[in-house]
Amino acid sequence: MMSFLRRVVLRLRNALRPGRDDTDVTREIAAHLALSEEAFARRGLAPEAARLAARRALGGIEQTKSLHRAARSFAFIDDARRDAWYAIRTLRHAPGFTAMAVLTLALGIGANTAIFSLVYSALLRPLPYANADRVLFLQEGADGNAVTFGNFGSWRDRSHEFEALGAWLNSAATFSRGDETTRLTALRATADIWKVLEIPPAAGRYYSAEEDRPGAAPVVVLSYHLWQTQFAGDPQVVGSSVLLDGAPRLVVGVAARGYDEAGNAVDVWLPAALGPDLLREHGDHELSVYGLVRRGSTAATAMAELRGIEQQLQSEYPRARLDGVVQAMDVRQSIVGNTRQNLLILTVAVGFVLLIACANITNLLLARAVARQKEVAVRAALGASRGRILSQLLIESLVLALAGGAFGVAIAYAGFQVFATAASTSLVTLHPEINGAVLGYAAALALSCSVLFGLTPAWRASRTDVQNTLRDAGTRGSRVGEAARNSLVVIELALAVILLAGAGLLIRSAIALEQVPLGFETRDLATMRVALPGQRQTDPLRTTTTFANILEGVQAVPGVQSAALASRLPLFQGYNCGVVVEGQERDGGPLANFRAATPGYFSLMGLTIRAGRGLASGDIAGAPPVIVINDRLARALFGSASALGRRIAFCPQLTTMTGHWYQVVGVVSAMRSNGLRQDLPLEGFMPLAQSPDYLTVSLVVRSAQPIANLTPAIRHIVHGVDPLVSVYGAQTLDELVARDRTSGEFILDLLVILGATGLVLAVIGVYGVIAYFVSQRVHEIGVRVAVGASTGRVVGLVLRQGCGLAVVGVGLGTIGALAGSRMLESFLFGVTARDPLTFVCVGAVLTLVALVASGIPARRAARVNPVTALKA
Amino acid sequence: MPSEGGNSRIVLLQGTLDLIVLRALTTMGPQHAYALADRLERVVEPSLRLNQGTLYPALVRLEQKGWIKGEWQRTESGREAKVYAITKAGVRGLQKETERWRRLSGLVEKLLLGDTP
Repeated sequence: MMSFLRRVVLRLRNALRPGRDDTDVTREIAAHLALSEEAFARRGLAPEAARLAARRALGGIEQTKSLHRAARSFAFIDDARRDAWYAIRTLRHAPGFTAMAVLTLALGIGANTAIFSLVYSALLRPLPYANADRVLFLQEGADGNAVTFGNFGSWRDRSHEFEALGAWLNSAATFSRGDETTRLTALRATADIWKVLEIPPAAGRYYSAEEDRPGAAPVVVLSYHLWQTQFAGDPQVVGSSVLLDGAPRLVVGVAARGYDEAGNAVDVWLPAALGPDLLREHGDHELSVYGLVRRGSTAATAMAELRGIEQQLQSEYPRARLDGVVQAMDVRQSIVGNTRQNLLILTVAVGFVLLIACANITNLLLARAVARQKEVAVRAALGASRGRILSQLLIESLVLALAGGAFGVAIAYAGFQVFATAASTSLVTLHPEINGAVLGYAAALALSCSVLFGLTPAWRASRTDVQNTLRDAGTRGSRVGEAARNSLVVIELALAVILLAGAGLLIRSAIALEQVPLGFETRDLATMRVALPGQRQTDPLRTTTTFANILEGVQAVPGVQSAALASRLPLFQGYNCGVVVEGQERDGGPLANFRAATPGYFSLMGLTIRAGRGLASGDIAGAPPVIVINDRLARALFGSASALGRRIAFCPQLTTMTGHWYQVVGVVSAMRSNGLRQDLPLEGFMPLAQSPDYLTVSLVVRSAQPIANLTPAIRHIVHGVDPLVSVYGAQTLDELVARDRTSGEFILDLLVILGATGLVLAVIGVYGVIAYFVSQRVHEIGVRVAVGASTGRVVGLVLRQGCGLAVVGVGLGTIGALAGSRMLESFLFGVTARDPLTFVCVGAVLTLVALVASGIPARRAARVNPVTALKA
Repeated sequence: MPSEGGNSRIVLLQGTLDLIVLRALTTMGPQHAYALADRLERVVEPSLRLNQGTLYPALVRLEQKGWIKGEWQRTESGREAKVYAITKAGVRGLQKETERWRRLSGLVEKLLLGDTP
């Protein structure tokens, strides 16, 4: 066994490092021949005869050498290496072809590699959590809401199939160090979250259940990236105190880096400290809940139990508007969301581009194979077997593909910069990188491409008829292969149609979004978030006073024409909950969107008062609670009757606790608050002064000056009121709208780029095939012209060829696109997946472009001189 | 590469040549390739005449297995030649291979006898 292994190793070494033993063998054979010759001479042969006899006895020097080589190394590797060198030499002699092929491939493989790296990081990379396969992300209701505090508590108490249930809610905190304050995103998470989503901490420890109780000493766990950026990864920070929202908190540990990599955009983890009062709240959907299914149980069993509990809760808390539905998804899906769909579409699209590229290269190689018939025939005549010729040509393809793959990886690497700048997409949090798996994918792509585009031409070339080729100089290419070439171009055109149709539909959606009426003004308006420290919710009066003082100060800033505060601006999902009308409590009302605002908000945003009045400065704490609703909510609640003076309540569960009825004092025009893609919402506005629950609000200012010029003055005013208030996220309303419009634009941009690439490649393909068609028919065209065919007829002949290809390609592509466009449906707005205008335009563009591409060779055909053509 | 005209010649079974070379090196001591080829031609009947070159794959195989070792030396006539000697592993290998060969040929013999009517 040892000796066998030893031999394999030595043979491999010899195969990969050739030449070293060659000289030794030559020397040994020479010595052998000399000794043999000597012996023959001793037997009385003449010197020349002895020399020949010695050679004859040996059986040929070259044969012996090759026997030796076959025994000492692996012949196929040896051959492959030789073929590779030969291929590199050949390709260097055809720089135009090589550059074209490598560049095309590099684009194709690069795009595929870049998308694959995203696919890998999103869908294939192992999750960092220890028990990821047992973790379920849980949502309530048919439309997948967050979970209420009370229901989470009941689940935790009543279920047995879950080993642990952890929850968090999004929060924020102001971090101060010296004079500097920074706004941090925080997750208020229950201690069990560390058990459910388990990764050992990077430093220190995670907080315990004892520390996750109301009134416990305040602790914090830092995220890995905050630890790195703010504390330079100093382990000493564990055990020290940091100032969060103006109060010291003990740093007990640093969370594992895996939490960042899994896409949790969070700076600090704070205990949720859910108290008994919150756990009685069954109507307010706030929590993201993760459950760890007990070892030995299954997700199905656990979910069956949980649905049972939810149905009990539904009957126990009838006013909580529960529908008894609980939904579960695995952790990966909870992270990735609809990215999966994005990636699927992009994978298909880049795959098409690569196929088009391969088709083009196949065509180039087919044309080249005709030109190389003689070379192949000579090799065959010299004794190369068909297999050797085939493998040599395939290795040439492989060399091309590997070169393309290498450049492709470089392009993919550059592509990450593009992904990184497309910061509006969730893809950024996925940390794409070039790793072993991605490199392996690129190599596998290159390999399969080389077979895909190399096999047909190589097979065809290896069948070269040696005698005929050598006899008639083999320059006149046959029409064999024309069918192959034509069908390749048809495929290319069809794929390009599909890509362009996809891009076209998305462009039409973007145009439709552009035309959506907003219902509010954006001109000269800018906004920023203003956040009070989270710990001070104890004093409602102080909250409203702080906001009032801030607003007053900001209005006095030079350059600010007017200003207002609102809990949330349009295009950010508001606080959605059920509404009931006084006297009709039994009937479940519709769901509506509720926001709080200051009196100036409506005029600032350009809303029209339809009835009654807007919010007024007298609507303050202590005064009767009032509300202004939009015309859609008014119609939904009261029909054509007047809404004024009626009293409504929302989120009835909350209302029973606070006992609030709000009197409708006005009706206002609707705006597209929940996003451009959503319908006009049912909406109500409460006075901010009567809604002390909001600690973070948006400041809106009207000013002719750029917002960046105003921010320092505004920040100064705010810090004058309270140094712990943070101001962040300044942007104009135009930017806000543009961001919402372009939220699907990442995929649009990529599809447009890919569609354009596909179009260009397909056009090159059409041109190549038609040009070849003309060059093969110079003789025939000459004859036609000689017997009196007009220029028009000749041009027509060529154009008909191109047109035929285009029509078939566009037809097939349209069928494919119609079948596949449903994949895009969720990205479309204001246009159907089978939008006729898009399909007709794409078809027309491709046909036209194909005709133009055939026009150039057609002109050449028209200029054929019959005399020269027939002489040739 | 298959040898031609296989019918009239005895085709050497794969490995047989290795066995012969090893055996020759044990009985005759270290030898160069030509001497081995010469001896093969003398000892074996002419019907088994081989091209001397076919010896080389056997030498490569054995040397790569570590069963023989080649070294450049001068012959008595003053010419240089690569002289092969059997190694300790080669002696063990020869023993094992000889046994295997005996078992195999015995088995074939038995089968052939059993087949005769």
